[in-house]
Amino acid sequence: MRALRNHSPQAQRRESHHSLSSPRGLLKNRHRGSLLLEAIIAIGVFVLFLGGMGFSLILGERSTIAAGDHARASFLAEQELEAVRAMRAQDFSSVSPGTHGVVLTATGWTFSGNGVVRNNYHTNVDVVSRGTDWVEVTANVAWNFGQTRSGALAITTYLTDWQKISTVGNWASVSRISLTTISGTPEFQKVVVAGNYAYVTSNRSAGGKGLYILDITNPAAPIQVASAFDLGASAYGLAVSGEYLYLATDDPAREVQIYDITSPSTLESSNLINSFDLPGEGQARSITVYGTTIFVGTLNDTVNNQLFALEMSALDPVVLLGSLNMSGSVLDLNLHEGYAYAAMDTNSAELEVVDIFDPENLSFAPGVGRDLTEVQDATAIATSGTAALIGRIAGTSIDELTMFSLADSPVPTPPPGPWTMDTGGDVLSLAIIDGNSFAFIGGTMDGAQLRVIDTLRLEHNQSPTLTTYDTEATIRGLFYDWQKDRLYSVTPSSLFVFAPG
Amino acid sequence: MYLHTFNIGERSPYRTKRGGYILLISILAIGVIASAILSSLLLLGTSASHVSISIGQSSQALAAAQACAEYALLQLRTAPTYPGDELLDLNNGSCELLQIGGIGNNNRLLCLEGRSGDATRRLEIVVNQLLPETTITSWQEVTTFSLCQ
Repeated sequence: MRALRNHSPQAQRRESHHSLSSPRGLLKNRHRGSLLLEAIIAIGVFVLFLGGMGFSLILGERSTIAAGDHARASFLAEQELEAVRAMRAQDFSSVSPGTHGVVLTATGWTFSGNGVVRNNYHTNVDVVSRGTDWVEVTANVAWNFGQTRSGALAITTYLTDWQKISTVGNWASVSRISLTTISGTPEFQKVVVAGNYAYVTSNRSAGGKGLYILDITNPAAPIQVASAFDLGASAYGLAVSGEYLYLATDDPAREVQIYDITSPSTLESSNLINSFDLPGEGQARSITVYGTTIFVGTLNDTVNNQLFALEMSALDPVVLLGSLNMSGSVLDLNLHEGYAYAAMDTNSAELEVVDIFDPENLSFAPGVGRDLTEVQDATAIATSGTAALIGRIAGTSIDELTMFSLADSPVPTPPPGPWTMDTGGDVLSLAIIDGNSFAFIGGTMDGAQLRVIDTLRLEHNQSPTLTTYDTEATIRGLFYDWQKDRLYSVTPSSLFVFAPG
Repeated sequence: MYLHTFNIGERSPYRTKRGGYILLISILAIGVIASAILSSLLLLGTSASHVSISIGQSSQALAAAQACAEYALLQLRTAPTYPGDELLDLNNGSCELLQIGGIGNNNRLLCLEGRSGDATRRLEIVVNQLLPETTITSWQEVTTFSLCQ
């Protein structure tokens, strides 16, 4: 009935009248038109929104999956490099140049074919020789899992044969390769070999030039070079690091001198690149270097300290970092695992150990050092592994060579040891072959200025001397060349080159 | 006078107006949440891409630092006075070998820095002995060098 009434002409007229004449009616009409438009817009916006949402979801997922592919490829490339590194560890020659696949067998990793598919990743390594005992290895990984899931990456590194073991000859007997005598009275002191040159310091008081350089390219016939060079002062301790030669001299204004030895055969005064004036007057006797830090020992001085740490720079002046009162002359210095071992003339502590971890705050290691029997000065020191050898001036009631164990603490705390040996003369220089039991003693021992000992035999209280050599003059300096397995020694006017056997 | 009466089932204008707001606010709120989720998804995807690239660069940077270590050890065995302080270029990165500490055959210190893209990896190596057999006291990755200047 209501429907009929509503559609009756009266009702329609009323409706029409109501719609057109009243504002509410107009509004209602407008709503009717807008509603469709709004709905269309709303649906459109919603569709766009849904589309964006779907696109973002797909894009985000694809990015994440692609990132996972890339990350897995990186790990595979790392694995390839580690596999080749493992091969190198077993046998460097097995890492042959070329493009190879790397596979794991029962005996370890090995090359196989020119590529391997691992979890659908194609992997291979490119090996390129860069020199003797040196290869460049590039691990390549490529993948293709569809249009948007493909890629490739490569990681490159170097591998070298630094793990190979060099052979050391049998120094139970020695043979002299050469003897080079410099005319006059050069008064050689110490020797260091770097590359194809031997650097020898000398005392100038008897006519020496302070520094001599010999070309030892042919060890059987060393040749003096830069013979016109005169240091102008006596030099004692010396060290070579990189392209620089460090000298401890008695020059009162520049005890520490640093020379550029890029071209040793033409060394001249202009190659002096830096120097330092220590407190006191020309007292420097021993020197050693760690990176850019120089450690210098001096003769005893009641006013000044005797151990100095300096900061070296090629361009700026040398800077004093720190110093320490050693209460005696530092006649020889040796660095070992963050500590400086000093051979002293101090009667109460011929061996002193200094903590050099912080060069600006030098301090004695706990325990300070060791007091050896009697009062003879310690003149030489050498360390290797857990052993420290100390040589002294001869005395009738002492053994001139003492060996301590450093296994338990930086300052030796026997037992075990110490182990001693009567050399029959002053011990002025020592050298040890690392990783071996051979050690060399140089000094004044009549008829046996060079003595080769076995430190293991010394440790087991057996006669340690393996052989001796009569240089007919006091040996003041010894240097063992690890590269060539040769021993260099200097007497006041000669350079000897020895080989094992 | 025309009196407007409400039939049963016809909504009050006030109720209609309020219902629209609720719908609108709900749509807006859902839209904001959905947008935030979408943005997060996009950002996650982008971040994952960046992370994977960083992993690759980091691997290359470490390989570069190791390359420098291998090179330096070989040089030291050949010439113990080798000073270091060298920059090496590899295919996808580079490495810097800082000045080598110590002299002679024992107690040498190597500091190496490998770089690739934005990634940097650093190694500190303490060499106990070079010859006749090279032995390493420590070989560790560090964030900053503590043993080298």
